[in-house]
Amino acid sequence: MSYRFNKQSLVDLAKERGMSAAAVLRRAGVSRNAYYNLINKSSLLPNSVEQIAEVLAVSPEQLIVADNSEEAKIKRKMLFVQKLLKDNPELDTGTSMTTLKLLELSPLQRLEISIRYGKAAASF
Amino acid sequence: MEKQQLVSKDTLAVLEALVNAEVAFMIVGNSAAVLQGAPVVTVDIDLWFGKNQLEKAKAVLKPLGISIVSGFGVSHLPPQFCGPGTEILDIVLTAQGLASFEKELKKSLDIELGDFSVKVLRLDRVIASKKAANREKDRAVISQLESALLTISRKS
Repeated sequence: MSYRFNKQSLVDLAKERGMSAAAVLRRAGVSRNAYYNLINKSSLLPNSVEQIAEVLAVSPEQLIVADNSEEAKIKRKMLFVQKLLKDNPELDTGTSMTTLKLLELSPLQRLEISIRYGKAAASF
Repeated sequence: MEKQQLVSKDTLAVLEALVNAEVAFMIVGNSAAVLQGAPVVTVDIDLWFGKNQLEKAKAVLKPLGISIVSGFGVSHLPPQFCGPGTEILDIVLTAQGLASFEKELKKSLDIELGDFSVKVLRLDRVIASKKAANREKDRAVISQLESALLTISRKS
């Protein structure tokens, strides 16, 4: 599971404390660049999160959320395939990615898709 | 407009009737691989029946208006289903590269198809069967099936 910085939590918690988000970042010593990375990169910078949490007097967990966006899901699949490929150079990565996507469907849905494509191919 | 169901309610009813009557059969071939998550295409569902199970299947399916027509001597042509929902169902009596039906059945997987489960030949055994059959259409999917098997086994 990957995590992302919850920008809204920062804004809300800062407001509760009568501060702006920018002021919290300044007090925490988190630069604009570090903040940009924090909200836009898939990897969190633990130091920045801890510094912000300290200023707001909350636990760092209150500032992060599990990232379940479709993009994050695809990224997780890509990482999985990348790791698998490392030990198995013969792996067909496209097939592996599609397999991971199909595993999220029910067996019956997989069968429907396969037959749909099969019939389309057979009609040519 | 409602999307046309390729695996129709009638087809599922046929499979469910066979399962409920404890007819010994399992899904094999590409459809078995697909049910386990392999991204290959198929146009039908191959059903491998155990010894003497076709007679039992005939009796079970008769009330559904389905008959089983024998190959009446046509070389290598297995019997065919005839009736509603059987358009994409094929009968398989022998499978290459596999152990006996009974042995493969013991190792098969139970996979849910809506309200019931069917026995499905394990993906590694589907690959073994395709390698043994070695037809052009089998060779064309082996690499994909092996990548899928690797992915599925590591994922679980």
